[in-house]
Amino acid sequence: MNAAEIDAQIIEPVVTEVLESTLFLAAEPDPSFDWEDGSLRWSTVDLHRPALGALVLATSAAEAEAIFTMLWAGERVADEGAVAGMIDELANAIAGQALAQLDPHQSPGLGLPDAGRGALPPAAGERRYGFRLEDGTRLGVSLRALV
Amino acid sequence: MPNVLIVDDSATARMLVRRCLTICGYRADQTFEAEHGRAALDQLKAEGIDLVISDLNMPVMDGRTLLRFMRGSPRLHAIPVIIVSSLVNEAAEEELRAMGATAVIRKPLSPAALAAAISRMDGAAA
Repeated sequence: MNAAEIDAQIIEPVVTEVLESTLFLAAEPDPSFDWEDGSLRWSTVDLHRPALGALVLATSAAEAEAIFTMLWAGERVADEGAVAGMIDELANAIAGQALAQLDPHQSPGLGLPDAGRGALPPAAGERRYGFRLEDGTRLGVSLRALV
Repeated sequence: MPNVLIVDDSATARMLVRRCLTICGYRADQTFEAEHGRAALDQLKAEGIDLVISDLNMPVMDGRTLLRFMRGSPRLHAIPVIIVSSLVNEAAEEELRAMGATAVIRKPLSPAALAAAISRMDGAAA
């Protein structure tokens, strides 16, 4: 198995649960996410145990800042590093939950999240999912197989 | 209310745990924070910490290693440790409990799940 074989039945409930319980906003699948947006802020997490590839969570810079401001409720200023850390945490939560569901008899393992920015052109061995929060915010999740 | 040390490399995750603790009745001056296991061990020696809430996946020293150090320490072995991680399934929970975790909770953390874990812990101690 590889990451791109983690199907919608696993990833969609995991993503919606993490977003809803963290941001208190309903989320639903929406394939219109723009992966070519040059302002994207993203975080990638390697799926180590089982070794399947990587998960990437992405959203636009403006939407990432809006999510941060809502989540922190004004307690902290939305600087670049803090916003990247928030995306790392969401990516980590989604990746961990997805891995944990694959095999209940194997303790799952992840790498540390790694934040980045810029468009994400299609990659070989990749499966993409888009999501929209009830306030209109869009996020994308990409599952990338080991190459 | 005991003093609580929150151990997570993510400032966002620490804030979310802190918020849950506030909802559970903890005051801000009862919560302390560390970015990884090694920093947590330093704080545990310096502060009067009664409960540790730790992530697993962290740089420098991860949550499993922190748990091992605590359970092997004559000073720290009795402090309850609640693991809060996205990396929780049946196998991981069994392994963590065998290592001495007091409770294991899946991220994202909810105030209800944290309150239930603390309440079970208090009940077991009573």
